[in-house]
Amino acid sequence: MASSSSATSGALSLGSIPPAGADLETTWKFLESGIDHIMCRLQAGMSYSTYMSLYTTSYNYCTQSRIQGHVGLGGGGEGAGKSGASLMGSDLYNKMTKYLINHLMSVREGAESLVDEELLQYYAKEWTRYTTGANYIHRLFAYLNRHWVKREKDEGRKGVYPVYTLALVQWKQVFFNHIQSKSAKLANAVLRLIEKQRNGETIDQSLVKKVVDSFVSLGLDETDTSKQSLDVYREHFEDPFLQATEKYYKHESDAFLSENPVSDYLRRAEERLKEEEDRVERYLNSCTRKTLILKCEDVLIRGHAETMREEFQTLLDFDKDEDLQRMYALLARIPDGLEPLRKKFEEHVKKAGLSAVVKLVGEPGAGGAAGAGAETLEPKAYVDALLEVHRKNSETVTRSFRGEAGFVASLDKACREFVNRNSATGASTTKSPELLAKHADALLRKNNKVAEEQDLEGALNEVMVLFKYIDDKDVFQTFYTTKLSKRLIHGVSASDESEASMISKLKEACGFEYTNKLQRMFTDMSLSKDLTDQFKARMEQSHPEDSDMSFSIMVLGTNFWPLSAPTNDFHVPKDILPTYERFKNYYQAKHSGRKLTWLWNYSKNELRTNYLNQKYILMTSSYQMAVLVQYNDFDTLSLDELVNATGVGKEILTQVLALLVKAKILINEEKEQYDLNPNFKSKKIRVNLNQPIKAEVKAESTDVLKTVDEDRKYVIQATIVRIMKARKTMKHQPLIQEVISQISQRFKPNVSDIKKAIDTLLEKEYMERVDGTRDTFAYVA
Amino acid sequence: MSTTEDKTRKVKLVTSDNEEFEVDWEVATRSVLIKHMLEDIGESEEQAIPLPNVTANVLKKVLEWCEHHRKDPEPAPESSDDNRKRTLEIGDWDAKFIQVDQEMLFEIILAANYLDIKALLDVGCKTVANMIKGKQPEEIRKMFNIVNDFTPEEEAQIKKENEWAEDR
Amino acid sequence: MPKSAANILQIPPEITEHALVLSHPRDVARFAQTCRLARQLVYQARDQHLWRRLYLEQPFDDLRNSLEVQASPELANSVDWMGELQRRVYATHLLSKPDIIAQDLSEALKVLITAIRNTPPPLDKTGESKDILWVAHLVQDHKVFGTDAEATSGQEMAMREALRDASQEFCQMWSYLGWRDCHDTEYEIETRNHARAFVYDLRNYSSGTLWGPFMEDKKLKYRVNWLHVASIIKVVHSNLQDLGALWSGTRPPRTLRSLQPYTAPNCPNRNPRDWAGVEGTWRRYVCFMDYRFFSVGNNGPYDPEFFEAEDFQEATRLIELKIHIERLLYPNSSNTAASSSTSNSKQALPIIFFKGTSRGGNGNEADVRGSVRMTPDGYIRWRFVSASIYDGHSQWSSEGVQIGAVGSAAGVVGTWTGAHHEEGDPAGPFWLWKVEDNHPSHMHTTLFA
Repeated sequence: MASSSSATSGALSLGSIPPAGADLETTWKFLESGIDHIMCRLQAGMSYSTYMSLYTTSYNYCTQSRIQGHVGLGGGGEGAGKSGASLMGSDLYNKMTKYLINHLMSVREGAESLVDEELLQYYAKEWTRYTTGANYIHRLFAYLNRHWVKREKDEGRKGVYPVYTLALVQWKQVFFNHIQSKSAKLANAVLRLIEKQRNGETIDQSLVKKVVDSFVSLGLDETDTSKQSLDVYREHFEDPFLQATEKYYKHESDAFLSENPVSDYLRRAEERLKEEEDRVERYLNSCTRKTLILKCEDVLIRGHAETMREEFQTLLDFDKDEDLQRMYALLARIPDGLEPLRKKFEEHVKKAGLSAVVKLVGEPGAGGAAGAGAETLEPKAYVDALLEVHRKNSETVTRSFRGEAGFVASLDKACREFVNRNSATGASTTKSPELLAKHADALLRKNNKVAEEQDLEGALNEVMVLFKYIDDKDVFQTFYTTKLSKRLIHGVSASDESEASMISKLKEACGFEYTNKLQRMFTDMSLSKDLTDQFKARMEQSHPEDSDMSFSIMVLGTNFWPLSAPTNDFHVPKDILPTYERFKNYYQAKHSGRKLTWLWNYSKNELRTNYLNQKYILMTSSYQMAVLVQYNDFDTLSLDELVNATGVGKEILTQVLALLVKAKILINEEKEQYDLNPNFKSKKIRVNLNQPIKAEVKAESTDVLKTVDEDRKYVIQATIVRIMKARKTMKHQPLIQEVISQISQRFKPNVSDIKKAIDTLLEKEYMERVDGTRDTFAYVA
Repeated sequence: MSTTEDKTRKVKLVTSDNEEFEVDWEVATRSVLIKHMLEDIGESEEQAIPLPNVTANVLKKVLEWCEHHRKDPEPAPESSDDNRKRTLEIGDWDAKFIQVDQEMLFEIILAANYLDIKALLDVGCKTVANMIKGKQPEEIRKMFNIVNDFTPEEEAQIKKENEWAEDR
Repeated sequence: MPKSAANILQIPPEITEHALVLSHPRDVARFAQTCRLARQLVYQARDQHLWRRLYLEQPFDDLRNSLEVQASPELANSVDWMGELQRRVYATHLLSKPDIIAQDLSEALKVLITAIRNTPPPLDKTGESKDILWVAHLVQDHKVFGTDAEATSGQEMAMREALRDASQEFCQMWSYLGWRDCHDTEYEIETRNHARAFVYDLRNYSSGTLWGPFMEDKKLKYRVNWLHVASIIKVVHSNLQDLGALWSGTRPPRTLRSLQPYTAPNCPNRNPRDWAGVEGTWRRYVCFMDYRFFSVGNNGPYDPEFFEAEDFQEATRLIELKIHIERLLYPNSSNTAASSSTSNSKQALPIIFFKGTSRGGNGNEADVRGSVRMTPDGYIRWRFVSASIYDGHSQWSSEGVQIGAVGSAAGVVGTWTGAHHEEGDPAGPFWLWKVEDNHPSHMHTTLFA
C-alpha cells in the first residue's frame, strides 16, 4: 500500500488533543497523523476517542474566528486587514489539499508500470480505499464544510469544494488525468476487456463496472457540486467506447455477411443487439444505452439494410416466416427501415393475386380484355382464388410483421388493386362485384354444399373480406338485391338467419342506407305471409265451397324490389278469376288507395291432371297454367288462338309452348298447332315444368347494370344538390372534387357523368350559372 | 430508521469534566456528529464517546432537549438551508426549555454547534433574535452588556447608515 | 467565558450572524448601532453573506433567479442584497404611513415596480412569485387599491386623481395589479368614463406617441405612457365584464403569476431565438366606439358624461391570431440612436419580425405582420399591421406594451388606428394574450361550424 506517512500500523492512539486555540502547525500535525491512518490503515480500526479528538481539533481550529479586532489567537494572519466576520479554514483546507496531492503522487507511482487487467485491478482497489477514507475525512471536517467552504462557495469562489469532492478533484487531476494522458491507458484497458468479452471470452465484469463507475463519480458539476456531471465518463469512456464499438461491428458484420447467408446474419445481428443491451445493464451507465444502441443499429442494420431488403422477396417466396419476422424486427428499429419492405410486399401481394386469376381464366386478352376463361368462370372458383391470396398474405402480416399498420395498408392496397382489376374482369369494373354477389347468392341458397351453419357463416365472412376491397359497392348491391329477391320469391333461401346475418354485415360495412332496401324486402315477405293467412281464413268463412283451391300471395313494395311488371295484357284464366277478384276486393278494402300490380311473370301454379290414368301434379308458371287450362275445353289449339286466349305476346308464348312441348305435355306436329298429349307419362308424380325462359336469363345481367347506371345518375344528382344547398355557390372544379370525395365510398364516379348530372340539374333549374362567370354555379332554392 | 432494537441500544457519553451519561441511541443521535461517527466506526458496547468540548451541566441540558425531540423527523439536508422557512416562533416546550440565564443560553448554543444539532442551534439563535426584537440600540447594549465605543463622528455616520430602517 | 463580556460578540461570528439572519432587518440595523464590533459585523463585512441570508429569510424571490442573472451567471456575485433589502424595507415603511404624501407614494411604488419587473420565471407550473405576492399584499393592505366599499370611494378618488395627475408609477402599478378587483361602484363608472375619454381621444394618437401608449422623452426618445396603458386596461376590462358569460372561457389571465416571465403558453419550450415568446396562438379583444361618436368627440376632449348617453355604443370583438417569426434584426446591424442610449444588456436583444394570420369570430381573415422589441426604458413593445385578405385596403395598425415581464401570460395591451394614420381614422384599445394552440372555446366552434 502506498503511503506518504511513517506512522506505525495498528489501531491508532494519537495522544492528547492540542489545546483550544492551538496554532496551525500543532493542529495540522495532530490531524495529519489521523488522516494518514484513515487513508492507509483504516482496516486496523479506529476508536471513538480518536475520532472525537480529530473532530474536536478541526472544530476548535475553525471556531477561532472572531470579528475583526478580536482575532489574534494563532490565526496565522487570517482575517487581518479585513472587516466583519472572517472565518478560519483556508489554511486547514490548503494543508488538506497538499496532503491529498502527496498521497496521490505515490498512488500514481504504483501504477506507472502496470497495464491492462493489472492496471485495472490496481486502480479499482486504490479507488475503493481512497474514496472510503475520503468519506471519513469529509465528516471529520464537517464544520469546515459547513461554514468556511460553504461561505466561500456562496461568495462565488471557484475551486473550493467540500472535502470529499476535493478528494475526487485531486484524484482526477493528480492520478486519473496522469494515467489517461499516457495514450488513455486506463480507458483502453477497459475497452480491451470489453472486446475480449465480445469475442466470447469470460472477463471480470465487476472490475469493469468499478472502473466505469469511478468515471461517473469523477464528473463534477463546477457550478453545483451536489449534481453529477457525466463529462468525464463521456470524454474518457463513452466516446472511445462508441468508436470502438462501431469499428468492431463494422468489421464483424462485413466479414460475416461475406461468408454466411443473409438469414444467418439476421440472427447474428439480433443476438448482438441483445448482448449490447445487456452490457449496458451489467456495467455501463444507463445514459449510454440510447447512443450505444443507436450506433449498433446504424452499423448492424442500416449499414446492411440494402442487402437485407434484397433478400426479402426470396424469404416471401419461400415462406420463411421466422426470417421475415427477424428482418421486420431489425428494420423496424431504424428510421424509414420498413417503407421499402412495405412497397415490395404490396407488389408481391398484387402479383400473387393477379397470377391466381390468370391460373383460372388465362392471360388477359389484347387491349385489357378479359382472359379467355372469363365467360365461363365459376363465381366460387374466382372468389376462392382471391380469398386464398388474401388469407395467405394476411397471415404473413400478422405473423411476420406483427400486424403493423403500414403492412396492413400495403396488403389492403394490393388487394384492392387485384380484386377490382384482373384478367377475369378485363376493363370492366362491374365484373368483380357481380361475381362476388353471385357467389354470395350461391351460398345463401337452399341445398348449397356449404350449408352447414358454421361454415356458411365463415363463408359469408369471407365474402365480406373481399367486399371491403370492391370499388363499386353499388354494383354489388344491385346484384345482391336482384338475387335476394329471387331467393325470396322462389322460396329458395337457405335460412332467414343467414340472410339476416349477411345483411347486418353489409350494414356494418356500408351503413343503414345501403341495406335499407334489403331489410324492407324481408319485411314484405313476412307481411305477405300474414296477409295470405288472413285472406285464407276469410275465404274459409265466406266461400267454404272453394276450399280445394289453395292460394298464396306476396305483396311487395314497388320501390324496394327489383321486379318489373309484364308488358302484356294477361287474361286471367276463368278458373282462378274468382279468387283473383276476391283478393283484389279484400286488399282494396284493407288498404284503400294502394295500387296492386300483378306480376304474373313471377308467379307459379300447381295443376292436378284429370285426363290421364295416372294423376300428376304439374308445377308451372302462370303463363303455362294459362295455356294448359285452355285444354280443359279443347284438345287442339293454334298459336293465334292461344295468344288470344291468354293475352301473352307471341314471342314469349312461343317459348312457353316450346317448354311444354319439350316436356311432352303438348305435341306440336303441325306448324303453329298444339295438341294435348293424351299419352303423357312421367316417372315423377310432381312434374316441374317451370324452367326459366332463356330471354329472361340473358336479360338479367344487363338489366342489373342498367339499374346501376340509373341509380348512379340519381346518386350523383342528389349529391350535387346536397352540396350546393350547403354551399350556395361553388366553382366547377371544386364541386366535382367534392362530389367525387363524397361518393367514392359507394363507387368511383366518372367525371363525365358528373358533368352530365350538372347539365341535367341546370336544365331542371335546381341550380344556375352565376351571371358573368363561366364556371360558378349557384343553388336555386 | 427506527427499529425496536433502537430502544434498547445505549450510547455512553463522557463530558470534559469526566461525567458519564448513558443514553438511548435515538436520543444521542439527535447529534449529527454522534450519528455520523457511529455510522463510520460502528457501535461498541465498551467504548464511551468523549465529548471534550462539553461540560456535564450543559450536556445534561442538551440531553433533556434531545430526549424531548427524540422522535422528530430528520433535519433537512444542508443544501436547502438557505431557503428554509424559519419563523421567530419557538414551540411552547422549547420556549420553557430555553428560559435559562444568558450564560447557559450561549453555552447551549455552542454545544449545539459543536454536536451539530441544527434544530437546537436554531432555538438558541431565535431566542437571541427575540431578545433583540423591537429594542433600541441602548436597550440591546444593556441586555448583552455591550459597551458603546463609538466616537461622535462615527455616531453621525451610523445614523445615516441606518436611515432605511427608520423614519427619515 | 467571563460574565462581564458580551456573550453575543464572543461566540464565533458565524453563530452571531445566524442569530441576526433570524431577526427582522430593522432589528439588525439597531444591533449594528450598539458598538464598533457589531457595526463591523453588519456593515463592514468582506462579503455579502449576512445580507444575502437575511434577504432570503424575507418573503422575497431569490434575486439570483432573475432572468438577467440566469442569462449571465457571473452577475450573481454582483447582486446588491443589502441595497435591495434596505429599499424594500423602507418602501414597506412608507406605505404603512396613514398619511403618505404623493412623492413618497411614488418613491415606494418605484421600488415595488422594480421588484415586479425583475421577478424570476416561475419554478413550476403553478408557483407564484414571492415578490409579486409581497407587492400585491402590500398595495392591498395599505389600501393603495382598496377593495372594500367604504375604502373604495377614497381609493377610486385616488385613482382618478392619479389619472388626472398622470402619476406614472401609480398607473403602472394599477396596470399590473389594480384592475383585477374592480367593482361596479359609482366611482368605478366615473373612472371608466375617464379612461374612455382618454383612450378614444384621437389627439392622443400622433407620431409623437407612436400612435400608441407611448410618450416623448428627451433622453430616451420615447417611453411607455402608463396613464395610457392603465386607461386601456380599464376600458377593455370593463367591457369584458359587460360581456358576462359570452366567450367566458377566453379571457386574459388575471393570476398574479401571469406577470412573471415566460408564463404564457408554450413559452418554456419556445424556440431559443424567440426571446419574447412570440410564436403560437393568440387571442385578442378589440374594442371600438361607433363612428358617429368619434366625429362628435373629435373636436376636443370628451366630457366623461358623454359616455352616459343612451345611444352611446361601444363594441367588443374577439379575434384569433396565429403568428410565427419571420426574421431577427440585431441592433448593431442598424445602429439607431436609441440603442446606444443605455448600456442595459437587454438592449442587445434583436428585434423580432413576425408574420401570421388573424381571424375573427365571424370568419373574416387578415394577414398580420409585425415586430417585437425592447423600448429604451426596457419594456417590450409590440407593433403590427393587419390587412384583410379579402379587400387588401382595410388595414389597421396596432401598438402595444407587454404587461409584466417578457413572455408574460398577461399579454399585451395597446391601441389600434388606421394603418395610414389618415385624418378621421378611428382608434381604440385592445388586449392581446397568448393561449394554448388547442385553446378550447367558442372560437373554433363558430369558426368551423
